[in-house]
Amino acid sequence: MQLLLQDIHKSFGPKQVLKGASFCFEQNKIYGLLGRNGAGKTTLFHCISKEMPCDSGQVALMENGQDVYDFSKVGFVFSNPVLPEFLTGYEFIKFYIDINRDKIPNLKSIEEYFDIVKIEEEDRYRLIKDYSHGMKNKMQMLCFLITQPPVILLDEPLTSFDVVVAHEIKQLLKQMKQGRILLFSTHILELARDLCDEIVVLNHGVLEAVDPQEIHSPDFADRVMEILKEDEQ
Amino acid sequence: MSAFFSGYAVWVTQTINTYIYYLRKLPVLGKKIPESLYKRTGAKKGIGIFALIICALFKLSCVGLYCLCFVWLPAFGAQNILAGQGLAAPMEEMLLFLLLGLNMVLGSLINATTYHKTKSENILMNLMHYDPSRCYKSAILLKIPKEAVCFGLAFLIMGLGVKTPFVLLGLICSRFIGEVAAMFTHNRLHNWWLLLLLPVYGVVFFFPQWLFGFTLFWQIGVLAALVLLGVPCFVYLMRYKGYMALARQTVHLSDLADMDARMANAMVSNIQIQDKSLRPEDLSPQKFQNKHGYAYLNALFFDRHKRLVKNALRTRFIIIGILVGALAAIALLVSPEMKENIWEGLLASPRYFLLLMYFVSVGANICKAFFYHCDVFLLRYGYYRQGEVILKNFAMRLKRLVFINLLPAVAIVLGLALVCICLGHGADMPMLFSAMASVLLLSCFFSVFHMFMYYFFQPYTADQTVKSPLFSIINSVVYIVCFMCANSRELGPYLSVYALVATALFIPISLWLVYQKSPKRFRIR
Repeated sequence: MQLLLQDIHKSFGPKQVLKGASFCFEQNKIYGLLGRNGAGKTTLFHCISKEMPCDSGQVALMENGQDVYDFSKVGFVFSNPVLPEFLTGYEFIKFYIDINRDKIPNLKSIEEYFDIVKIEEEDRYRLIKDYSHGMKNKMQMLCFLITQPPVILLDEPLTSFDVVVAHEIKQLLKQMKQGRILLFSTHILELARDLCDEIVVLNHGVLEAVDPQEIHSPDFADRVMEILKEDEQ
Repeated sequence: MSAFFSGYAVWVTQTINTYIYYLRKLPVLGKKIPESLYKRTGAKKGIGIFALIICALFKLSCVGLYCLCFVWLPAFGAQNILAGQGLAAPMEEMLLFLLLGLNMVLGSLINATTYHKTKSENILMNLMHYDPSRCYKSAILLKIPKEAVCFGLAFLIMGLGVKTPFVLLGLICSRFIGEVAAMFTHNRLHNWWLLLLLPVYGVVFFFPQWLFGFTLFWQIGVLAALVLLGVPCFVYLMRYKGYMALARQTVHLSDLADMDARMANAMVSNIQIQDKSLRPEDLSPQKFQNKHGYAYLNALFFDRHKRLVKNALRTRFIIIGILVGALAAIALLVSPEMKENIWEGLLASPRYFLLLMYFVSVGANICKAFFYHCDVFLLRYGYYRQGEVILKNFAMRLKRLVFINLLPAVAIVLGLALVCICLGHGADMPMLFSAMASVLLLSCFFSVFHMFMYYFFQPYTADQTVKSPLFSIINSVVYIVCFMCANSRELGPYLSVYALVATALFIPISLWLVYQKSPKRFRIR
C-alpha cells in the first residue's frame, strides 16, 4: 500500500503554499514531515485528508495498483485535540464505536481500549471538558487504535505533553506503524530522529526526502538546515 | 503629545484594518478590494485625520447632549416649577451649581484617566513598551484643550457668557484634583461618588432657593479654592515618579485578550453548559444504552443541555402565563361591551402570531448550542461531514426542536381557549381554531427555518463570531416580514392557510437543500 501525492498545488489568495508537492509514502513506516513555521505542513495534511480541496494535483491510496482512497482510511490527529466536551470519555468512545462498527477489525470492549492508552477508570466517566491536554490527545489516538485506518496523519502530536505521556505516545506510535503509513509533522529535529524511519522536508512548497542513512548520522541536523535555509542563500 | 498621536495611530490603524477585513468578506464587492490596501499607509494617515475630525465632532456632540440632558434641562425644569409657584429662579446659579457638582466634583472623581486606559494605550504600553510616564502625562495634558473646546462651546450656548473662561479654568483644575484623588484612593471609591447625584439634584429640585446664596462672591471663592488645589495637583501629576508601577497594577496585557474574550463570550453566554450542576448519575454510562450512533450523540446532547432548554422555555411560559392571566382576569371583570371588544380583538389577533412565534421559537439559541458544544469539534472529522450523516443529524435534531417549540405554542393555544371561555364565548371556540392552528404550524415553521438556516449557511466560527452576511440579512428580512404582517389586517384570516402551505413546502425543500448543499457548506468557517 502506498500513499501517493502527485503535483499538489494549493494557494491562499496570492500566496502559494504548495507548489507541486509530490511523494510516495510506503507502508510500515513512520515518516517525519519537517518544515519551518508557515511552510505548509498543516495545509498538506488537510489536502491529504481532503478536508481542504487542492487547487490541482492528486492524492491517491494505492493498493494492488488501484486507488482505494476513502475518507475513512485517513485518520487525522490534531495538535490541539478537538473532542465534544459535553460527552464523557466513555460516551465518546461508545459513540465512535457505534458509527464505525462495520469498519472495526477485532472489536474490543470500551474498557480494554481505555486500558491500552492508560486512561484511569475514574477519568473515563468524566466530561471531556475536564480532561487534560494529554488525556484528550490519548482519546484522539484511541479513535485510530479502534478503527485502525491505513493512513494516520499526526499534526505536531507531542507538543505540550509531559515527559511520561510523550514517551507513552511514542511507544504507541511505534506499535501502530505495522500495516500502516504514519505521517507526522514536527519542527523538532530530535523527535523526528527518535521516532521516524524516514524524514521528508517540506520546503518552498515541495517535498524533499532526506536519505534514511543520514537520519542517525552526526551531520543530519546540518543536512536538514542546509535544505531549509536554501532560500536564504 | 507624541504619546497621544502614537496611541491614536494604533487605534486608527486597527479600526481601518478591521473595516478592510470585513469589506473584503462581502460577496462581489469584496473581491474588488485588494489585500495590498493594508499597506497603503499614506491613505490610512489621510483617513486617520478625517477620523480624528469625526471623533472630535462626535465628542463635541456628546458633551453638548450631556450638558443639555443633565445640566440645562434639570435647571430649566426647576425654573418652571418655581415659576409655577410664582417664584423667580436662579437659573445661572443653578447651572453653575450643577456644573460644579456634576462636572467638577463627580466627573473628575469617576473619570480619572489614570485608571481608565483604552485598548490603544494598553497596546502602546504593554506591547510596544511605550514609556508609561509619557502616556499618562500626555493623557492628563490633553484634557486641557479637549475640555476647553468641548465644554467651552457648551457653556457659551448655555448662556454663561463672560464667566465661561473662569468656569473652564475651574473645570480643568478640578480634573487635576480628581486625578490625584483617584491615585490616593486607588480609585476604589469611584462608584461611591455617584451618590453625590442625590444631593446635587436634590438641592436643584427641592431647595433651589438656597442657590440664590451662590453669589459672585462664593463663585469666586470656589474658583479660587479649585485653582489653589488644582495647581499643586498638576505639579504633583507632572512630577510623579510612580507611573510605571501604576501601569503595572492597572493596565495588564491580559486585559486585551479579556476585552476580546468578553465580547466573544457575550455571544455564547446564553448557551453555556452548566457542567458544575451535573451530578454523577447524569454522567452514568448506563444512560441511553438503548440508543446508538448519532441517536446516542443527540440524546446525550439534549440531556446535557436540558437546563438551557428549560431556562428558555421557562421564560416563555412565564411571559405567556402573565399575559394570559392578565387577559383572563380582565375578561372576567370588565363590562359586556368591553368583553365584545376584546373578543373582536382576539379574532383579529392572528396577524400578530407571525411576529409572536418568531420570538417564541428557541431555535436560534439551540442551533448556536449545537455548533459551539458539538459540531465545532466533530466537523473536523471526515465522517461527520458526509451527506448522509449531516442529513441524519438534521432530521433527528429537527424532530426534537419541533417538539420543544410546540410546548410554548400549546401554552399559547390553551391560553387562547381560556381567554375565550372567560369572555363567555366558549361556544364560539371553533372560530379560534384557525388561529390556534396557525400558532402550532408557525412553531413548526420556525423550527424548520432555524435548523435550515444553520445547516445551509453554518454561520458560526470557532472564535465565537458570525461570519455569514447572508445569514444575518435573511434573518433581518424575516423579522421585517413578520413585523409587516403584524400591521397587515388582510393577512389575519388566511394566516393558518399560509402557514400550512409554507410549512408543508419548506420541510421537503429544506431537507433536499440540506442534503444537496450541506456537505460543502456545513463546515467550520
